[in-house]
Amino acid sequence: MNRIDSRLKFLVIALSIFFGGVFLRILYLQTNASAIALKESIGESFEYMTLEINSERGNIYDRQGYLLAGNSVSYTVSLKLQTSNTHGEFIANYLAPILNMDHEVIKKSAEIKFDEKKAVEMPLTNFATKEQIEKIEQVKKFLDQRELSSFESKTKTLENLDSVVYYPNIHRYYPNKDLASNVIGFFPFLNPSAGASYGIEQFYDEILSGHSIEHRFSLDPNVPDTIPDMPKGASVVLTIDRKVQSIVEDSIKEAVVNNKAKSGTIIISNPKTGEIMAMATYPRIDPNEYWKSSEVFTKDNRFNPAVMQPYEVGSVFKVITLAAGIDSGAIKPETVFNDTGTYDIMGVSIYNWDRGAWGPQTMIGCMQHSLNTCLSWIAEQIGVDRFYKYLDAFGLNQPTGIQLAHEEYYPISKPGDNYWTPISLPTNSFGQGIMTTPIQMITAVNALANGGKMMKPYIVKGIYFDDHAEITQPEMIGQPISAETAKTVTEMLATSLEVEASDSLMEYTRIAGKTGTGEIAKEGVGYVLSVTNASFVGWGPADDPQFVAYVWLQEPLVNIWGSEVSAPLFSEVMTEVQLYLHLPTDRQLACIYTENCPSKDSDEYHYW
Amino acid sequence: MKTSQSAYRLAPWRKQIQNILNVLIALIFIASITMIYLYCSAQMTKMKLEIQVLHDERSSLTRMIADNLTQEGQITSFFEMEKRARQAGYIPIDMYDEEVYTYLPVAGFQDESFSSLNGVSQINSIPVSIVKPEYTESLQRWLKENVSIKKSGDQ
Repeated sequence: MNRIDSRLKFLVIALSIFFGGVFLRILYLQTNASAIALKESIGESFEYMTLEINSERGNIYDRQGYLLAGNSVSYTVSLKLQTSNTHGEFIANYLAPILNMDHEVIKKSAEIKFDEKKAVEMPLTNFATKEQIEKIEQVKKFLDQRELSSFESKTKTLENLDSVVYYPNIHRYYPNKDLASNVIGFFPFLNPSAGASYGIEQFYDEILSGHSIEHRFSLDPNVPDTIPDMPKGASVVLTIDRKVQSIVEDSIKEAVVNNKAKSGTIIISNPKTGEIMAMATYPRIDPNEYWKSSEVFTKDNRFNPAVMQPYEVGSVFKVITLAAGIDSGAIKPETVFNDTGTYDIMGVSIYNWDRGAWGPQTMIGCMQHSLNTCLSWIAEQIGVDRFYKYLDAFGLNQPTGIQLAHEEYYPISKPGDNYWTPISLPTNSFGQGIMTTPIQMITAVNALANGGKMMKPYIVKGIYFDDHAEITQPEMIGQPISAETAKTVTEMLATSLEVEASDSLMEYTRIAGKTGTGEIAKEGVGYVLSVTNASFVGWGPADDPQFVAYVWLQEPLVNIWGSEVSAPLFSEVMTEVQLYLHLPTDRQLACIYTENCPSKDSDEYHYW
Repeated sequence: MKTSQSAYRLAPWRKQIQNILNVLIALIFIASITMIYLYCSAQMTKMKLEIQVLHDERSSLTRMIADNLTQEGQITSFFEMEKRARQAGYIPIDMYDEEVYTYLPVAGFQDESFSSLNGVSQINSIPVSIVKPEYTESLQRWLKENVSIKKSGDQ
């Protein structure tokens, strides 16, 4: 009995020592720093999986609510190499017709040697459709159900599509293809980490992309884990109307192709609010094939020249000089300038575009004949300091702040600056030696069409967040000229345009405007007349302007003159677009609001 | 007088039964604790699996909504609509011929302004998680957060 007791005691002591040891070891593992670190590192590898979670990217809509940029589901189809190695031919036979891929490519991919460290899985495509996935599933099901003979079951059991796996993913999709692509920009869905490029996509990348977090998921089923709430990115609604945009895009494309121009730009805005109703450029790309942008665009031919490409606008700039001259009191519409064909300053002669002398001209005549000499004289009458103050007031020395990425501007050289000389004043007065973007020009001209009030241009109508919406309110950013000046200049330019560029006139709406043919300075050669920027700016109806349109053709080869290529383009586009802007013609208004409906052939409706 | 004295306080078999019962009681206690633990773990696992299934469904629905919205955008894209309009026999208006269209002012008509954007604001976003934080955080963290909130509230 004693022997049994002593054995029991020994057992108890031994077990106590064992459990005591275990307890002490547990205590050690729980408190020792290196043991904790080891446990955590093991935990990182085997207990947790860290994944980056991105919320869905917000959509982009036109002003009517039509989708311009959305998200589409596609599937990445991959091959598990461990099981695909042995029957590449079999897999390729089934997958090639479903995925519309080359048989050999699939076969080679499937037969890549499995290597646990280097080659585990081989993706075939990132853009398989739901229908293709359903077909794969059907084939898999069919293969699983087939009856094999005992011989076949021994030899062909591995020949199935079990190695074919797929994962859903969301990618950016632009249903309207290249429509407004210069405004929208693109999101590189094949390489999302590169971030969005150009336009709205880049400007609002942060709010469109919503949230992105790295979350550590526990692999232990006992640890309840949830994906954090990830609200979708905000959606952006643009001010552009896709119908108007489409008309303008078709027209600019045709003009660029027919005139063999380098690029073309048309902007239409509402002068009363600063809304951009259309901003078309050509060439464009389909953002679904965004990788082509590097082939199409260069530093001389930017993605969206309307905001990214300052250039010497030429005579279009004369409207600014004229407005400054009238507003400052330096000139009046009836002021007469005697054009001798040259304007001399510091031994340098400035000539008219045709090298002609037009004799005594009123200010309207100066604009009708687009006299460089006259505008140089007007600038001199205004005075150097006042002239550049007006340019600042028109916002030509700063970006407009439109909600598009990469807006550029070219700083104006002023007295005291390195590049400014006394010759700069007269040349600047007719748009040479000074560079502006189309968006800067249309913003400045908006002031002429809106009683002197300059509105900030905007292309985003509203931003819709998960829980609230931000609607863009029109913002006045200055009043460079008085309302009276704006009215006078509009009336002068409506009159002068009838002589200067009758091709720009609209059938039943009276407009004001100005053409421009800016020579382009070539390195080592200077200004070359055969290479120009052909521009036109027009606004109407002259009585109460509701739209301003700016047209620019870069280096047209067939016809270099703004009055012959850009002016008729303006008329063509605005005639087509006017109805879609809900703007009646002058004649229609006269028919509605006056007792006499003018005949179509008369021009009485111009002055109803 | 002769007295008899027992060699044991308890009979050995009784003592053995007592020991066995003690061990059994301890085992039953441990088993009960283990059962409760296993039951809770099973409940949590079941809940987590349900959560994961719901998450999968949610993700799938989110993708489907996005895809359907884009498909709708594709079907109503400008080029598709134009193609269908032409197929249906519509022709573009000749804007130079004023006789083919008429401008009529309609009393009370409001410009499209934002009315047509109502649909945009109703874009579905990923729903808020239905699992309250209390179910996913540890007692230690709950105490820490609540105590710290109370402390800051006191101040």
